[in-house]
Amino acid sequence: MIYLIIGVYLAITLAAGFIGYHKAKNTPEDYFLGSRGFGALIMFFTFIATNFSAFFFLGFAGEGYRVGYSYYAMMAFGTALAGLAFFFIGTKVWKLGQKHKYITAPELVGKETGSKPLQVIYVLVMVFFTLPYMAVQPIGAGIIISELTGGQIPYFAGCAILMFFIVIYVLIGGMRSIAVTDMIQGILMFTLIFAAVFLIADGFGGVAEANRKVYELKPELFSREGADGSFTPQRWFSLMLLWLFCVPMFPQMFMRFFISRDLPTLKLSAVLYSIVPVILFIAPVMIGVFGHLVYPDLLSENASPKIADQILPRILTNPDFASPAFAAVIMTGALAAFMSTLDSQLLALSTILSRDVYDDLILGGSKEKNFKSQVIFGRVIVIILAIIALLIAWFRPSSIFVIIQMAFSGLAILFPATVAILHFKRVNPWSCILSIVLGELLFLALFFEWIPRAAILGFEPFIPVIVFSFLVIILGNLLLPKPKVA
Amino acid sequence: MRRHWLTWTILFVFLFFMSMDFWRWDDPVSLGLYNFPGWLGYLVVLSLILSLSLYFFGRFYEPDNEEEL
Repeated sequence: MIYLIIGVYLAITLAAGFIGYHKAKNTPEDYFLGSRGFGALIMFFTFIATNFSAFFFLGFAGEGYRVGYSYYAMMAFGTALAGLAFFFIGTKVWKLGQKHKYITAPELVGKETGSKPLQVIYVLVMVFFTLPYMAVQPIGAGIIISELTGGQIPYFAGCAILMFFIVIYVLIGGMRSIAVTDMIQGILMFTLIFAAVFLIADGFGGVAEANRKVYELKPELFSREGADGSFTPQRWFSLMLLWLFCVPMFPQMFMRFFISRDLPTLKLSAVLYSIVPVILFIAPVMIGVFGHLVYPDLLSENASPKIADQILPRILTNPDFASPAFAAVIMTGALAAFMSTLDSQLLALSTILSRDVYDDLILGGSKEKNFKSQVIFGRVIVIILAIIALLIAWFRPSSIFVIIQMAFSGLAILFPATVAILHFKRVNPWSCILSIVLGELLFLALFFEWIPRAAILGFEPFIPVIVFSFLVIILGNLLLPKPKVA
Repeated sequence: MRRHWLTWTILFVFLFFMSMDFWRWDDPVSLGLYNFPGWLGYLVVLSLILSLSLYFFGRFYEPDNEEEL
């Protein structure tokens, strides 16, 4: 039965990919951006399915278990705030994309500033921080498939099966296939996480009763600071702002600003994107909180706080709550979350590497002549990236998890330069380069505590770095000569 | 136009600072609807006001009607 459920899910995903393929044309703009013709519904689902990865399914439940309801409040408001960036960055990016036919973020900044070095810096930062994040998606999927089948499908076989299906539909239909699968995967994520929370709450006598029992057991899960005191005012302030700065800088999200059919569609999807977290994020956090009623001592069993991320699969595989078949159905929601993020990251990185590196930097940018070779090269890169991700999943180097911890902040450092390029009059590209390079160096120094953490007064490292990066750009533009061409 | 921008900037900064409600973090927790913590409702309503503000902001905002910085 479990094999049937996983098989049906993968078959539906593949079929959705073929729907995209039937409408595809063999041009870079169509393969990478679906000819910039997506409506509000697809835009909305592709934004949420791309951005809400498996961390939403498993990580939020883990944080709900570890921190409590405060985590939901922080994530819901912070993510809604990111909708504001869709206006200031997204609409401008869309407009420039329509006008100059840009496809990637590095291409846009390179052409708008006339600076190849700046384009290269964007490529390096985006690839460096996205590749490891992409590689952990098959790791998570492999673990889930292996657990669901009781180890009959081994971990790495699970990774490889999932990757195989993704590569097929990304290769055939590009952005069109991804957008259609995103819609199905988004709907699955939505419905299955709520199915899971109602199922689990029902086991405790309903939501109100479950909350009452947890409050009697561990009232600290209902506090503002969080059960482990993880939210100080400085940390709350920092994390509320993090998503505003980093979400639009994910290359897979930035690309989506180009694909909207028109401006009102993009604006509507930005508003819808800001509403969803309030509704959606409560479900996995509730599961984590309720998890204390079944496994009250999970954290004391093991020193690592990451053990809390297992709370959802643990409850679902507990026969008191769900049959194995129903658990498999729910966990396909987690697979959907994995796949919808991974496919978009795969396409975004292959687009950057084929468009910016291969075509622009290696071939010299004669795009009209290289249409066919760009698509072919893009498809080859998809396969190469998939193999790299599988190799990382095989070896699971510990350093990859360190890079992922840095990834969100590392990408957020592109935000000040991006705002300056989009909104300042004649920005000096060297001020942007300095802002990014010095910003990343300062972030590394704070992250690895070469500069003592006490120096940043309890804020998350990216806060002083963003302030610093903005200052560098402003000073750079005051002190360096203005470029001749706007 | 400049006055509109000022109004929107003040609104969004105000909403952000309303989410920093540290002054009542030490208040005792009371249970609200479905026994969720009472303070959760405040942030849910604030998030929805933010979304509503974004909707009206979207009707006003055009990428080319900004003042050049």
